Amino acid sequence: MRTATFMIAVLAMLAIVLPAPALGQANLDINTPAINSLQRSMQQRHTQLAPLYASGAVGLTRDGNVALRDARAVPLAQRQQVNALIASENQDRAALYREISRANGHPEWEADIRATFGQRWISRAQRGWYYQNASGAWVRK
Amino acid sequence: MLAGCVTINIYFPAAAAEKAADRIIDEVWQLKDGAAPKAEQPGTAPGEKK
Repeated sequence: MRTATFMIAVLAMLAIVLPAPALGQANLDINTPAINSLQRSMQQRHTQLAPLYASGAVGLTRDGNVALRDARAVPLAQRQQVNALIASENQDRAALYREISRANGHPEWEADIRATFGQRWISRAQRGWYYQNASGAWVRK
Repeated sequence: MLAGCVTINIYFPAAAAEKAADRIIDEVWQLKDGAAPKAEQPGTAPGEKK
């Protein structure tokens, strides 16, 4: 009886220490207001970014960001606008990685989340888009 | 004992993170409505030229 009580106490402590997503290989929670709004903002911006990926002006970096790859692919008059677009996208992406790790109770996972996204953006990118390979060189998919 | 609990390092759930990333990428890039062709090969030869 005493052992049973002790076991329950230990389990209760573990339940407090381990947040739910860490128990087993559960899904990560991505359904928070902050994450949803970042997702919407990035989705809207994508209509402007898609042609830039296709022209090779903008590429996907290894660390889960986007970057200006070929400035010559952008008319001079639009360069400032493209740079602003890239900056806003990277801001949203940074916030997204941070929010996902926080929403799941592990702010220290942020770098791992970013690395995971870095791989997934690239592997799901369309043919013809550019991405950075392991040595940092631009490669056309 | 308490110190032991506090310092437990929880492993990063890589598979769950990939799933979460894919769900978000589906939304952001609108990959579900067939708007974009599938590009699922992470290991494609980088030298490939269109």
